[in-house]
Amino acid sequence: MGKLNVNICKLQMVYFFKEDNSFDTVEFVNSIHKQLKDIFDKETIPQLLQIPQNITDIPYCIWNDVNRSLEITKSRLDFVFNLTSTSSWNELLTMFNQKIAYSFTENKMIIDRVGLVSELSSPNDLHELLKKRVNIAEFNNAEEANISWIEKIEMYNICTYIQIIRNENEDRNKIIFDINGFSENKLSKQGISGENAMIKCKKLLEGKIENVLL
Amino acid sequence: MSYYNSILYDNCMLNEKKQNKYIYQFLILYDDKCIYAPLGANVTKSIFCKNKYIYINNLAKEMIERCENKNIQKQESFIYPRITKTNIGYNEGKRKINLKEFELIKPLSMNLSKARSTLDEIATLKENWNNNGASEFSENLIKKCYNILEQLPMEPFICPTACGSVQFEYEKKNGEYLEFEIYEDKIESYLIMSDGKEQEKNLYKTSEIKQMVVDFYG
Repeated sequence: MGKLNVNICKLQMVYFFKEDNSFDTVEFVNSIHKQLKDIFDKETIPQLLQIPQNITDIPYCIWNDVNRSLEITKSRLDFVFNLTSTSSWNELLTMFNQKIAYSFTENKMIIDRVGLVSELSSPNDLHELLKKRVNIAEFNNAEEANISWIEKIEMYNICTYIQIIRNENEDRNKIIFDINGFSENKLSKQGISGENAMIKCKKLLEGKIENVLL
Repeated sequence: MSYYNSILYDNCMLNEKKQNKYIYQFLILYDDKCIYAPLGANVTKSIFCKNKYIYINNLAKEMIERCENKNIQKQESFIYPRITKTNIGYNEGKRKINLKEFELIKPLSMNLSKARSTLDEIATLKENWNNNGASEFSENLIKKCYNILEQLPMEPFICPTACGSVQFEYEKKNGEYLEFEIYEDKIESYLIMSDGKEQEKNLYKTSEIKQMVVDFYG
């Protein structure tokens, strides 16, 4: 089979903090700002919001520009970015991972779980290309189809999600790989840093691209 | 569900910007309602409790006037929630208020209220809308524009043209300019780069448009 012309267009990096890991949120945001200020649009800055202590799932820090978004809650950090047509997802992910991990270390923060979600699209007809790899008759002939499956590889869940919409006015064909660590296998107990766990997710993503799409 | 314009004001007027720290008050303006959350106030707790918002119209109106009188810098915000429904409730002081349930907008998704309302207006234009023979716009074309708009990472400026297309425009302060002319059967793009070079290209997929916008704001 020939190589598919499929590109990663968006990546979401997620770091879950260890429970009861106390740290100075303002100092942490200051540190993240120093690390990422050359990446975000210079006219944007992180915004801090007053959140009650017991609320863990509403962000207390939000930083957005057109192609990047950072949200920090008491329980996790999410960094999402669009990829330009000339950027290397591998290099960007490595760089962002290093920068964010630096802030974790500087503020003595412990990461217990990571996740990496990638969205892929193709300038060609994804439906035709995927027909060769997911050869289910009902799926191949459908006007709209969604299919997903989960694998477990080395203590990571890998969910593959494929969406096909065969409509000339809508171009919503996409593939999503959601890679995340088992929640019960805390990284701190395994002696693995958040940075290294994200590197592992990156390698698993490379493997998925090769196995599913090449 | 409706979409609302939202504007975030910083709290310079209360002089609480601390050195090396970024502390902002939380003031959201919608088309007809306002939500205000001063730092440290009890109302803040209720606002950020899940699924609850409180608005205080009179106080918010006063804050807005103060913002506008002092010409405080406004920041267009596209991260704030869209309102799903309204309930009646009470705050801690037992004062009756309207609670608004909300849902968080996912990161990198846009508040496209202006663009949508412009497309709504374009859809209503009749034959000869420019008094110079311009045609009205077909339902298919408007629908195509909506579909494209939903997938863009940044809200464009939208305008109708006399040659039957709808134009999406982006412009940066350094003079870079990006435009898409959307017809029923084709899309034409036009780009002016920072060095003055121009590039024209025909596009066939929404994903190509989206990628050009992502690249433009690199």
